[in-house]
Amino acid sequence: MAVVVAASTGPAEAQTLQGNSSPPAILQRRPLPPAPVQWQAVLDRLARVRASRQGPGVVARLVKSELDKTELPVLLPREGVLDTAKAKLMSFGDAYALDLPQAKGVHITAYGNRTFLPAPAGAVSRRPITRLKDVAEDIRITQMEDGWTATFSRYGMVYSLDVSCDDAAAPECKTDGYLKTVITQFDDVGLGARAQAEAERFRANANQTGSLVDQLTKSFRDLTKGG
Amino acid sequence: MQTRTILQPTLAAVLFILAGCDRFTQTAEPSSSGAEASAPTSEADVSAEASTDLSETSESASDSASEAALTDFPHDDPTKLVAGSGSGYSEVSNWAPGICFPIQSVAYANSQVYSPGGDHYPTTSASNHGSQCDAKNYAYPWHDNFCEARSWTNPVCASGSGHQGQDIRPSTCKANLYWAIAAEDGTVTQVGSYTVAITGNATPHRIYRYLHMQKASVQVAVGDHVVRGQKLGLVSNNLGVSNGVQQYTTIHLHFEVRVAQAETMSDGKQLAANAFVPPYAALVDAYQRRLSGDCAAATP
Ligand SMILES: [Zn+2]
Repeated sequence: MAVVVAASTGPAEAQTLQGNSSPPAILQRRPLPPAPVQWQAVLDRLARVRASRQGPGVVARLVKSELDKTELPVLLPREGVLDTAKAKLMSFGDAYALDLPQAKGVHITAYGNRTFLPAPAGAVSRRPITRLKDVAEDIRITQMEDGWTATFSRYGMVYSLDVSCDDAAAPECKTDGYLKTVITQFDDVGLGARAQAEAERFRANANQTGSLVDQLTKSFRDLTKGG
Repeated sequence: MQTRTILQPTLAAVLFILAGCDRFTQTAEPSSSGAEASAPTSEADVSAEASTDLSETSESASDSASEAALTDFPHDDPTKLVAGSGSGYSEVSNWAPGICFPIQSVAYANSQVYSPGGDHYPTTSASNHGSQCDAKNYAYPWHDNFCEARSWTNPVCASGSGHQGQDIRPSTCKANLYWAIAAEDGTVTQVGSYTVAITGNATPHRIYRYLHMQKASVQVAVGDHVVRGQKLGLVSNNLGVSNGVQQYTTIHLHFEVRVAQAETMSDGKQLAANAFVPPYAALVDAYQRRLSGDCAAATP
């Protein structure tokens, strides 16, 4: 079987290392460098949800050690509609999974990841998109063998929300209606210690850049004042 | 970089016997072992490969296996589906290099629907489609069945919809006897009535999903850490319940791989999403390594 190695930029730079002509060439896909978090969008969202909610939100219910080692923003449901009593965060540092068991054998699993594999042309762009009220991102919804999954990009990361049901006939799994509700509920965001430190660094840099611009403007005004 | 040595069939047969016999005594049935042992020796195209790919080091799934020699076995090429079974797909990648083959026994990757016992297996009778235990289902060559006709959207498939994983039968037509094992060191992130998901600890944090294991045999719970090769549950025909009634499928493991992907657009921007990817090429590679001794002994 021919083996081809693809550079992280994609199959265009693939190089065939074996000359066997009949079987298809097999690409090895190297992960891209970790995607940068769009911290400004995270901070904006945090400010909005903190103003609208009472109390600390679902983030307070997560195991602190798992949350604190998570580099990326953790998407969370707002309180009220979904059961968050058994929320369980499993962190990989640069990725996480959040298990959110609901009543009657309905499972919600959320995934966040910042490491992407280069995809062939059309792999993402060809997928049908869904737009939901009050959700900014394009959502890609797929039925699975045991439920439904939605994937979208937010803050520069890739997230997934899976819904599966112990009983396939459960209304939550019959259509994608329940999944869509789940997506709209996930408009809160939680930051652990590592993510918070990153966000702070971003804010400090942004302020510094801001004051530098102010200073330059002032100097320019000073220079042109006499003219 | 990869190098390949084509061994003489005789040497390859010896290699298979040396490497393959003791490894499957734990799970293989005496009645089936003869057929299993004879299959690879009749196949002339047996090869061993040695990988010295150093650029793989960021992917832990491949670490323990990248140096192993490979023993080939009869299998159709990736993307080549059973005639009439679906649109197929064209882009072939090994999306999960270095994984441990996810069933502990000898195994047969093939269609559950377009093979004997499947609803779309062509027979003269409209209602009788044969038996899932037909010897044809428990023989090489393997067949890819990612993108086999299904209603589920699947952008990898030429038709835009299709099967999202690979179906694999264990050594014999017996439920609840053969272990499904962890493909990679990871964490259990979902356990449903007939689904177990493991997320790889290492980047790119692939999500592996195992379907149809016997519920009572499942050894893991959400949050558990598993090591490559660890027993997860017994391969079965469990399709969960519907309206409270237990449903059954054929005896097989449905194995899925999901990754976060990024497509680079013409303006240089990246469009990213999670996606099911074809596991077949990775499974062929994993099974070749299994036949050469990889991760078979890792299971207690
Ligand atoms: Zn399947």
